[in-house]
Amino acid sequence: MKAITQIRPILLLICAGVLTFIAAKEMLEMRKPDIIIPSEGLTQKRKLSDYLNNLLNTNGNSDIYIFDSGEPGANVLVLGGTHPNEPAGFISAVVMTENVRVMKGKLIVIPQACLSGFSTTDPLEGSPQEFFINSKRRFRFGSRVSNPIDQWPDPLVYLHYPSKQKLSGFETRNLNRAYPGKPNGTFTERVAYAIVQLIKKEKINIAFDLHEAAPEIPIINAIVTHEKGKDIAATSVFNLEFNGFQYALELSPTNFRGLSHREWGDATDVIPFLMETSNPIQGRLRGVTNQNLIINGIDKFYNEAVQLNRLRITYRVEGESLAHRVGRHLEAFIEIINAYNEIHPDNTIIIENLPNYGDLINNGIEKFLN
Amino acid sequence: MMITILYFVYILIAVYIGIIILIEVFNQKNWKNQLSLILILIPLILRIFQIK
Amino acid sequence: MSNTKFLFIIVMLNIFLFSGIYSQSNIVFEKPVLITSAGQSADITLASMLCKKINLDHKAISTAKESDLSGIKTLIIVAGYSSKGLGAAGVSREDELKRIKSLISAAKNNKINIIMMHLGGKPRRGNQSDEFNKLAAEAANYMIVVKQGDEDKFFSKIAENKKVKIDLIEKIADGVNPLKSIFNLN
Repeated sequence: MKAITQIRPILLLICAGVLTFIAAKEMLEMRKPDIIIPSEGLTQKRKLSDYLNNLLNTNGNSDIYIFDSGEPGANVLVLGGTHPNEPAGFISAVVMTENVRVMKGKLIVIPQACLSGFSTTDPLEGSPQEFFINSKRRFRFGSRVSNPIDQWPDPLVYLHYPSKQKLSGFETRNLNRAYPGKPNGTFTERVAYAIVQLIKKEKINIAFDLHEAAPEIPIINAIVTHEKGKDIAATSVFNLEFNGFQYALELSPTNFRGLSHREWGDATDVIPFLMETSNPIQGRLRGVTNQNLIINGIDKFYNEAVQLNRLRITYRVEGESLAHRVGRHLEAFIEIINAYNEIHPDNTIIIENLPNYGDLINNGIEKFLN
Repeated sequence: MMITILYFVYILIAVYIGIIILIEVFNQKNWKNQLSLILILIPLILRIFQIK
Repeated sequence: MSNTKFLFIIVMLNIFLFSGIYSQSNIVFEKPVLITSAGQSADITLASMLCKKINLDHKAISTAKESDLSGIKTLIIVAGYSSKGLGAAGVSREDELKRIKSLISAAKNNKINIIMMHLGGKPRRGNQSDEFNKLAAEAANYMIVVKQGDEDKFFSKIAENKKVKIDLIEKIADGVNPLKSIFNLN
């Protein structure tokens, strides 16, 4: 009996060691970068540290893909992966990077704006760490915010710079609450600052921030824009509706600081647009949380909720598949570009080879990945 | 990662708590308490070694 | 009975039978036009765009007050709630309801005709929006509603009770047709 009492702590520590090793191995798998194979239209690949030096050799040094036609025209920026747990934003940017050819103007794509967030998952969500498109292409499913390994500890209250708006301390690692950022601020503030510097230095005319949200969130299937972009957004909502896509139009609130659609528009000359699609894996009603839910977007509890009709939920019974969500993002992107070109005929951008909604639904996303 | 002074202080705190837990594992006689302490130790180790 | 008498009776019969319909569409909607929001959704931008498409001069003030009604002949209320919109306007839900009620009251007192537009479809329905939707719809002399927002006949029932005309349109862009018609811009 005395022998067991003496050996037990050692045995338990060995067990702990084994469990820690297994957990560590799984977690370190998430450090393997995603592979993105740009189209032949790529003219330059840069890093975010090119716009803020102190991001070099950090997990915030996202890849930037530049498609410069060489013909003067509009400059467009697309951000995916601001929230790495919103795969449609990320994959939409990947599909763009792997397909587009720019014939006039310049397109800059950052598929993983919050690169740090791709190296971890949110605690207590039971999320998968990765998903596969056509079993060949592996993509990470990350956290909403930067990895705490890169920025720790969280304050009790997050004071936004420079407005001093107070938010929950957790939001200090949320890139979409960190704009316009600070060159010597927290890790996330530095990433935000670098993106704003890119917008200024590359003279970006229109910028897109691609997102998703839980089906029960009110701002879903929406285009959110700064007041500078309301005419363009309204025109594109009409045109999208004509093509069978309903979008809500929302104007960026002036008193909610830190978000791309507010701060990009205030700090620079850019016209910002943020788009949201409905993502069941982020929802509170969801059941099994796995790769299937990311790809097919079918959840029996959301189905039930829709049948009960007690909540306002944006969820189709056939599922909110990734192809559907990416398709919506690309359709809205195309229409906003068209509306911009219409209103600014002297400064247009011409982008070719971008699949539309029909292409993605009929052929699958895999057809448009290299 | 970017190490700030506060980050370094928190890692030291984690190491300190880890050592206390380790000592307590050997001091505890009840296996359930020892198991609970082990479970607390795992995420601390992961944070100290910058894995999670 | 002479032919003249017969014709007279037929004409009078027509006027008598169809006067119910004619009495509502007899409302004359005139400029100047003020567009405002009930609920602060960005749909006011869509309504303004529709008016621009048909060259209908107007002012669009999402937080219009009674003083903005000076000189106005037609008030267009674009109904639909947006939490972002309320936040942007810096007003509470209660403030917004108060504003709309006093605006409607002032419009009625000054014999200003009211058009309600509901362009947001299903997303601009539900508990939060419907308080604003009901307020605007019950005050309106005429309604233009995207069909998807009236699947449960919420607006149609109000139109029937209030005996006002309602135009249900398939898409937001279709809103130009009834607007052209009522403002005589064909």
